[in-house]
Amino acid sequence: MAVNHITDAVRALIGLRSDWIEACHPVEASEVRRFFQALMDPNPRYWDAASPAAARYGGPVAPPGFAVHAFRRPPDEIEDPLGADGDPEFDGTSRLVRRGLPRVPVPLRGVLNGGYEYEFFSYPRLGERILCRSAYRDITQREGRSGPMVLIVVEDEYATGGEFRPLLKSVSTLITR
Amino acid sequence: MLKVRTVEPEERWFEDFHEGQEFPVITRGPMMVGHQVRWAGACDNYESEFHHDEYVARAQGLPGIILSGPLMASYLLTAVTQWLGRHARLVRFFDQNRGPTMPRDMAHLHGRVRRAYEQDGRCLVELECWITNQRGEVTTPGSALAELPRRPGGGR
Repeated sequence: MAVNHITDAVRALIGLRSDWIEACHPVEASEVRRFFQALMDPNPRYWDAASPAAARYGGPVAPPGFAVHAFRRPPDEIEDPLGADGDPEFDGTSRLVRRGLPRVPVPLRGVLNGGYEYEFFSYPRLGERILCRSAYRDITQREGRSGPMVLIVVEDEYATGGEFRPLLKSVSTLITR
Repeated sequence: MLKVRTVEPEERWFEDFHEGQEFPVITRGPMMVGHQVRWAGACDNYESEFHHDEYVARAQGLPGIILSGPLMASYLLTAVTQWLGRHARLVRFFDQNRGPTMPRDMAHLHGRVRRAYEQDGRCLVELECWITNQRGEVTTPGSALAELPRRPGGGR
């Protein structure tokens, strides 16, 4: 192995867990609409409060994977993720894995999503606030066709409300290369 | 009165599924950069220029713009909920982004029942699912597990 990116500093991140972080807005009808339209899935359970589909859940709910993508840029966050600072080679990627976790100090530029593993508990309803806490489950290195790859496995727990009703548990693999 | 078309999944019960059962293939596409841009807007996530900038994609050693893996996974998850019907309660879902989906590619969503079984009084259906492109290459293999109720009154 030519370069070992799994340094002590990287190894120290394995097992690190963030605090609970709350999405900047509760589940909003129009955000849900944009999401299910992107999925081409206009199931009435997502939008029609009068439908039996929504009544089954006590009102419209967000699609199953919505919570994973609900952590949007807060209005008070001044830093623009597309702020290139005049660099014509800027590739638009901040490499911040999760809002509550520090960056992984690996000098690889490309980032790909390797896949998800979801465990479902309940769906967030309109108006509910989504919380998440994340942990680095593992960070390993492999040799790929174009050189070394570092695989970052992140575990996320999503919940809602003061009682932290579980929504979803996700394990995702990010590939940096 | 305005008539709104609703697309709730069919009504299906545990007894409707058996091992080896193939689901109707759902086809999406051709996929376009617009699908990716719409997904980025829905997630408010515009990072990773390689999802919409050919120059950056090629500079990173990719064959060109590739659509987001989580978008393709979400299509597959939507197909699972359609196949299993409105009463299914999703328990688990897994996907792997094995190959790229590029603009103008087709996405054919496939599913097959791996097992239909009872465990601790629960009726469970486990299925394998995957996306192929127009060349028959599997880009996104996956699997899912869901709990279903028995048909009221019993029988098929």
